[in-house]
Amino acid sequence: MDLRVKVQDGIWIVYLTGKLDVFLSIEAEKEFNRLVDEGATKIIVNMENLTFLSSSGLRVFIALLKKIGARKGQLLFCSPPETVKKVFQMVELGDLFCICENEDAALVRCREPD
Amino acid sequence: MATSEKSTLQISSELKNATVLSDWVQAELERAGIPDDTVRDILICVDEAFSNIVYYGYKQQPEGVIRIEIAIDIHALAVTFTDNAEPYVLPGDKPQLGRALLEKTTPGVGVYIMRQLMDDVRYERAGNANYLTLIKKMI
Repeated sequence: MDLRVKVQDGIWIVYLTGKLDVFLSIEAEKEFNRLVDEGATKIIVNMENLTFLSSSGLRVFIALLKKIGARKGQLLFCSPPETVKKVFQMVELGDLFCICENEDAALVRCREPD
Repeated sequence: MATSEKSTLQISSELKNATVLSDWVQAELERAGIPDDTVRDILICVDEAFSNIVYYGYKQQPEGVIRIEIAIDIHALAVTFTDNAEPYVLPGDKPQLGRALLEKTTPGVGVYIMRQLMDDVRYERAGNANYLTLIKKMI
Protein backbone atom coordinates (compact mmCIF):
# COMPACT_ATOMS: atom_id res chain seq x y z
CA MET A 1 0.00 0.00 0.00
CA ASP A 2 1.24 3.42 -0.89
CA LEU A 3 -0.37 6.63 0.31
CA ARG A 4 0.47 9.92 -1.37
CA VAL A 5 -1.04 13.31 -0.67
CA LYS A 6 -1.53 16.36 -2.84
CA VAL A 7 -2.95 19.56 -1.39
CA GLN A 8 -4.87 21.68 -3.88
CA ASP A 9 -6.81 24.82 -2.92
CA GLY A 10 -7.31 23.64 0.65
CA ILE A 11 -8.38 20.15 -0.42
CA TRP A 12 -6.25 17.17 0.60
CA ILE A 13 -6.30 14.56 -2.18
CA VAL A 14 -5.07 11.19 -0.92
CA TYR A 15 -3.99 8.60 -3.49
CA LEU A 16 -4.21 5.06 -2.14
CA THR A 17 -2.39 2.41 -4.13
CA GLY A 18 -2.23 -1.34 -3.58
CA LYS A 19 -3.84 -3.49 -0.93
CA LEU A 20 -5.52 -2.07 2.12
CA ASP A 21 -5.23 -5.20 4.24
CA VAL A 22 -5.65 -5.50 8.01
CA PHE A 23 -2.01 -4.56 8.69
CA LEU A 24 -1.71 -1.75 6.16
CA SER A 25 -5.04 -0.33 7.33
CA ILE A 26 -3.34 0.48 10.63
CA GLU A 27 -0.63 2.35 8.75
CA ALA A 28 -3.23 4.16 6.64
CA GLU A 29 -5.19 5.17 9.74
CA LYS A 30 -2.08 6.73 11.28
CA GLU A 31 -1.50 8.73 8.09
CA PHE A 32 -5.11 9.92 7.93
CA ASN A 33 -4.97 10.93 11.60
CA ARG A 34 -1.80 12.88 10.90
CA LEU A 35 -3.48 14.73 8.02
CA VAL A 36 -6.46 15.65 10.19
CA ASP A 37 -4.15 16.78 12.99
CA GLU A 38 -2.34 18.97 10.45
CA GLY A 39 -5.63 20.66 9.67
CA ALA A 40 -7.13 18.74 6.76
CA THR A 41 -10.88 19.23 6.79
CA LYS A 42 -11.62 18.54 3.13
CA ILE A 43 -10.27 15.19 2.01
CA ILE A 44 -10.76 13.30 -1.23
CA VAL A 45 -9.59 9.68 -1.19
CA ASN A 46 -8.71 8.62 -4.73
CA MET A 47 -9.14 4.84 -4.85
CA GLU A 48 -8.37 4.34 -8.54
CA ASN A 49 -5.34 2.14 -7.83
CA LEU A 50 -6.62 0.42 -4.72
CA THR A 51 -6.40 -3.33 -5.32
CA PHE A 52 -8.69 -4.37 -2.52
CA LEU A 53 -10.43 -3.17 0.57
CA SER A 54 -11.55 -5.39 3.45
CA SER A 55 -13.60 -4.56 6.54
CA SER A 56 -10.42 -3.30 8.25
CA GLY A 57 -10.06 -0.63 5.58
CA LEU A 58 -13.75 0.22 5.85
CA ARG A 59 -13.30 0.80 9.59
CA VAL A 60 -10.48 3.25 8.84
CA PHE A 61 -12.80 5.20 6.52
CA ILE A 62 -15.62 5.13 9.07
CA ALA A 63 -13.29 6.52 11.77
CA LEU A 64 -12.06 9.18 9.35
CA LEU A 65 -15.62 10.14 8.41
CA LYS A 66 -16.41 10.68 12.10
CA LYS A 67 -13.30 12.78 12.68
CA ILE A 68 -13.94 14.95 9.62
CA GLY A 69 -17.63 15.21 10.51
CA ALA A 70 -16.76 16.43 14.01
CA ARG A 71 -14.75 19.22 12.38
CA LYS A 72 -17.61 20.08 10.00
CA GLY A 73 -15.39 19.06 7.10
CA GLN A 74 -15.94 16.95 4.02
CA LEU A 75 -14.77 13.45 3.14
CA LEU A 76 -15.25 12.22 -0.40
CA PHE A 77 -14.10 9.17 -2.27
CA CYS A 78 -13.52 8.86 -5.99
CA SER A 79 -12.69 6.43 -8.77
CA PRO A 80 -13.39 3.18 -6.90
CA PRO A 81 -12.59 0.00 -8.84
CA GLU A 82 -15.55 -2.41 -9.13
CA THR A 83 -14.17 -4.66 -6.37
CA VAL A 84 -13.97 -1.76 -3.94
CA LYS A 85 -17.38 -0.38 -4.95
CA LYS A 86 -18.86 -3.83 -4.39
CA VAL A 87 -17.60 -3.96 -0.79
CA PHE A 88 -19.09 -0.52 0.00
CA GLN A 89 -22.45 -1.65 -1.41
CA MET A 90 -22.28 -5.04 0.33
CA VAL A 91 -22.06 -3.47 3.77
CA GLU A 92 -24.68 -0.87 2.80
CA LEU A 93 -22.34 2.09 3.13
CA GLY A 94 -22.51 3.06 -0.54
CA ASP A 95 -25.18 5.68 0.09
CA LEU A 96 -23.72 6.95 3.37
CA PHE A 97 -20.33 7.81 1.91
CA CYS A 98 -19.98 10.36 -0.86
CA ILE A 99 -18.42 8.37 -3.70
CA CYS A 100 -17.76 10.23 -6.96
CA GLU A 101 -17.06 8.75 -10.36
CA ASN A 102 -13.72 10.52 -10.75
CA GLU A 103 -11.44 13.08 -9.11
CA ASP A 104 -12.76 16.05 -11.10
CA ALA A 105 -16.32 15.31 -9.97
CA ALA A 106 -15.12 15.03 -6.35
CA LEU A 107 -13.28 18.36 -6.61
CA VAL A 108 -16.42 20.07 -7.99
CA ARG A 109 -18.45 18.57 -5.15
CA CYS A 110 -15.88 19.67 -2.58
CA ARG A 111 -15.92 23.25 -3.86
CA GLU A 112 -19.67 23.58 -3.67
CA PRO A 113 -20.77 26.01 -0.98
CA ASP A 114 -21.76 24.33 2.31
CA MET B 1 -3.96 -25.71 -14.91
CA ALA B 2 -3.16 -29.17 -13.60
CA THR B 3 -6.00 -31.46 -12.49
CA SER B 4 -5.33 -30.67 -8.86
CA GLU B 5 -2.86 -28.26 -7.28
CA LYS B 6 -2.08 -27.64 -3.63
CA SER B 7 0.16 -25.06 -2.00
CA THR B 8 0.70 -24.31 1.65
CA LEU B 9 2.06 -21.47 3.73
CA GLN B 10 2.66 -21.34 7.47
CA ILE B 11 2.86 -18.00 9.24
CA SER B 12 2.72 -16.69 12.77
CA SER B 13 -0.29 -14.78 14.08
CA GLU B 14 1.28 -11.35 13.66
CA LEU B 15 -0.75 -8.71 11.85
CA LYS B 16 2.22 -7.77 9.70
CA ASN B 17 1.89 -11.21 8.06
CA ALA B 18 -1.35 -10.09 6.41
CA THR B 19 0.70 -8.62 3.60
CA VAL B 20 2.95 -11.70 3.32
CA LEU B 21 -0.21 -13.80 3.10
CA SER B 22 -2.02 -11.73 0.49
CA ASP B 23 1.11 -11.50 -1.68
CA TRP B 24 1.49 -15.28 -1.53
CA VAL B 25 -2.20 -15.97 -2.27
CA GLN B 26 -2.17 -13.51 -5.15
CA ALA B 27 0.95 -15.09 -6.67
CA GLU B 28 -0.47 -18.61 -6.34
CA LEU B 29 -3.82 -17.72 -7.88
CA GLU B 30 -2.31 -15.75 -10.73
CA ARG B 31 0.08 -18.63 -11.43
CA ALA B 32 -2.95 -20.93 -11.63
CA GLY B 33 -4.63 -18.59 -14.12
CA ILE B 34 -7.51 -17.52 -11.88
CA PRO B 35 -9.32 -14.44 -13.30
CA ASP B 36 -8.39 -11.07 -11.74
CA ASP B 37 -11.88 -10.38 -10.35
CA THR B 38 -11.94 -13.73 -8.58
CA VAL B 39 -8.42 -13.18 -7.24
CA ARG B 40 -9.47 -9.85 -5.72
CA ASP B 41 -12.59 -11.36 -4.12
CA ILE B 42 -10.48 -14.12 -2.60
CA LEU B 43 -7.85 -11.66 -1.34
CA ILE B 44 -10.57 -9.76 0.52
CA CYS B 45 -11.87 -12.97 2.13
CA VAL B 46 -8.37 -14.19 3.00
CA ASP B 47 -7.73 -10.90 4.78
CA GLU B 48 -11.02 -11.19 6.67
CA ALA B 49 -10.25 -14.76 7.74
CA PHE B 50 -6.68 -13.93 8.79
CA SER B 51 -7.70 -10.87 10.81
CA ASN B 52 -10.46 -12.81 12.59
CA ILE B 53 -7.99 -15.56 13.58
CA VAL B 54 -5.41 -13.03 14.80
CA TYR B 55 -7.83 -10.75 16.67
CA TYR B 56 -10.46 -13.16 17.99
CA GLY B 57 -8.69 -16.53 17.87
CA TYR B 58 -5.19 -15.79 19.07
CA LYS B 59 -6.22 -12.44 20.62
CA GLN B 60 -3.19 -10.81 18.99
CA GLN B 61 -0.70 -13.13 20.71
CA PRO B 62 2.04 -13.26 18.06
CA GLU B 63 3.25 -16.81 18.71
CA GLY B 64 0.16 -18.53 17.28
CA VAL B 65 0.60 -20.60 14.14
CA ILE B 66 -1.66 -20.32 11.10
CA ARG B 67 -1.40 -22.74 8.21
CA ILE B 68 -3.00 -21.83 4.89
CA GLU B 69 -3.59 -24.29 2.10
CA ILE B 70 -4.80 -23.43 -1.38
CA ALA B 71 -6.29 -26.34 -3.34
CA ILE B 72 -7.38 -25.83 -6.92
CA ASP B 73 -9.01 -28.27 -9.30
CA ILE B 74 -11.23 -27.81 -12.32
CA HIS B 75 -14.36 -27.59 -10.17
CA ALA B 76 -13.38 -25.35 -7.28
CA LEU B 77 -10.78 -23.37 -5.44
CA ALA B 78 -10.50 -23.84 -1.68
CA VAL B 79 -8.45 -21.85 0.80
CA THR B 80 -8.25 -23.57 4.19
CA PHE B 81 -7.00 -21.86 7.34
CA THR B 82 -5.86 -24.10 10.19
CA ASP B 83 -5.13 -22.69 13.62
CA ASN B 84 -4.92 -23.93 17.20
CA ALA B 85 -6.74 -21.10 18.91
CA GLU B 86 -9.94 -21.59 20.91
CA PRO B 87 -12.95 -23.00 19.04
CA TYR B 88 -15.48 -20.49 17.75
CA VAL B 89 -18.86 -20.29 16.09
CA LEU B 90 -19.25 -18.69 12.70
CA PRO B 91 -22.04 -16.12 12.91
CA GLY B 92 -24.87 -17.08 10.58
CA ASP B 93 -27.14 -14.05 10.83
CA LYS B 94 -26.72 -10.95 8.74
CA PRO B 95 -24.97 -8.36 10.93
CA GLN B 96 -26.18 -4.83 11.37
CA LEU B 97 -24.88 -2.88 8.39
CA GLY B 98 -25.19 0.61 6.91
CA ARG B 99 -25.72 3.38 9.46
CA ALA B 100 -25.20 0.93 12.34
CA LEU B 101 -21.56 0.61 11.26
CA LEU B 102 -21.15 4.34 11.71
CA GLU B 103 -22.58 4.24 15.20
CA LYS B 104 -20.90 1.22 16.76
CA THR B 105 -18.62 -1.72 16.13
CA THR B 106 -20.82 -4.50 14.83
CA PRO B 107 -19.47 -8.07 14.96
CA GLY B 108 -19.68 -10.49 12.07
CA VAL B 109 -19.05 -8.07 9.20
CA GLY B 110 -15.94 -9.96 8.03
CA VAL B 111 -17.75 -13.30 7.97
CA TYR B 112 -20.69 -11.68 6.18
CA ILE B 113 -18.34 -10.35 3.48
CA MET B 114 -16.78 -13.81 3.13
CA ARG B 115 -20.20 -15.41 2.72
CA GLN B 116 -21.18 -12.84 0.09
CA LEU B 117 -18.04 -13.25 -2.00
CA MET B 118 -17.49 -17.00 -1.69
CA ASP B 119 -19.76 -19.86 -2.74
CA ASP B 120 -19.30 -21.56 0.60
CA VAL B 121 -17.61 -20.84 3.95
CA ARG B 122 -17.16 -23.89 6.18
CA TYR B 123 -15.92 -24.18 9.74
CA GLU B 124 -14.91 -27.36 11.48
CA ARG B 125 -13.25 -28.10 14.82
CA ALA B 126 -11.22 -31.30 14.93
CA GLY B 127 -8.83 -32.22 17.72
CA ASN B 128 -7.37 -28.97 18.94
CA ALA B 129 -7.53 -27.25 15.57
CA ASN B 130 -9.93 -24.91 13.81
CA TYR B 131 -10.42 -25.40 10.08
CA LEU B 132 -11.97 -22.55 8.11
CA THR B 133 -12.42 -23.19 4.40
CA LEU B 134 -13.37 -20.64 1.77
CA ILE B 135 -14.70 -22.20 -1.42
CA LYS B 136 -15.15 -20.63 -4.82
CA LYS B 137 -16.62 -22.70 -7.63
CA MET B 138 -14.69 -22.61 -10.85
CA ILE B 139 -17.51 -23.68 -13.16
